[in-house]
Amino acid sequence: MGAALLEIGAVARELGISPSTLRTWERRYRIVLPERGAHGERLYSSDQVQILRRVLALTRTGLRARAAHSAAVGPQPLRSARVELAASADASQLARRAVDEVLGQSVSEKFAFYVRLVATELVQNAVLYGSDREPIEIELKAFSDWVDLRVGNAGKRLTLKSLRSRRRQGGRGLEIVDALAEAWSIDTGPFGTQIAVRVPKEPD
Amino acid sequence: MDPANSQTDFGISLADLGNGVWWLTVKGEADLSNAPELKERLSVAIDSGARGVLVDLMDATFIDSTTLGVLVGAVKRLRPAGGELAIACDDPNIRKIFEITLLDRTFNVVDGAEAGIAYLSLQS
Repeated sequence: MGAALLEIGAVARELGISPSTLRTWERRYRIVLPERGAHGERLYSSDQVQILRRVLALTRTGLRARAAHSAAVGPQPLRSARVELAASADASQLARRAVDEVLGQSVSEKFAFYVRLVATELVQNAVLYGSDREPIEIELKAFSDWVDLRVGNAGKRLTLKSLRSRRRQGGRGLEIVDALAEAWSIDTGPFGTQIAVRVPKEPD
Repeated sequence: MDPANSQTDFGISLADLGNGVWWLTVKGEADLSNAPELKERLSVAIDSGARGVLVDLMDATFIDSTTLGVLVGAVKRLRPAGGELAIACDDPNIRKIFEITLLDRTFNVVDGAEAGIAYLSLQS
């Protein structure tokens, strides 16, 4: 994160494949979804180039692109969902129902509660500090031992520093998310803020 | 309303038990969307001279950091006048939120409404 991003031509040259192959992989199999620059150009992170390198190596052993991608990126979610919510006060309740939908009856009530709580805090943050004209996007991926949550919103950029200073002002949301989630990341760019967390089934 | 969602339907009721003790019960999911209502009902009790407020979460299924903020705000108003706020809650998941934020040290969190009322009656 924060490292230089590569344009599609540079990535294609580095991997020895054509840019159109990269675009096809993205469109058909969703293999690596690059960020977009100010003019809509694809921008690849070094992590993404790494994944592409592994996918390419696997396809050369005879795997098809989709299978190579699964093998290259590791475990795939058991269930997932992507929802867009209007940035209003009831967004966090709708986020909890999306969590219930994805988790179903397959997990303990305690774990489901923790995921609902983390989703609520992240969405609430987006409602309070993001743009109220753009929807909040939530992505939920349930794996066998954890849930990955990504909440994105347009509007003002958020940084970990500004979140922490809000905690000092009395907000306890971050403290709660910190206690229940691992693998925090915050990405801010021209299109807004994305917060990604992983909630493990057995938090420390 | 879909009956399947009945456990998430939010509701608050407020009762004056006398001797400055008030009993506020929260039902369903408390969050940002109903925090203003919670704040307003707590203010009714405090403005009426409450010395002890029991926030009964026995029928609550969810609370979040906004709810906690409202409760802390209420305690800040009660304390200078020697007032107290107690929480009745036996849901381990909700109790965990008070523990994570160390607010179990700010509020007396008890297992049931009777214990909370008894505690507050002794204080006031």
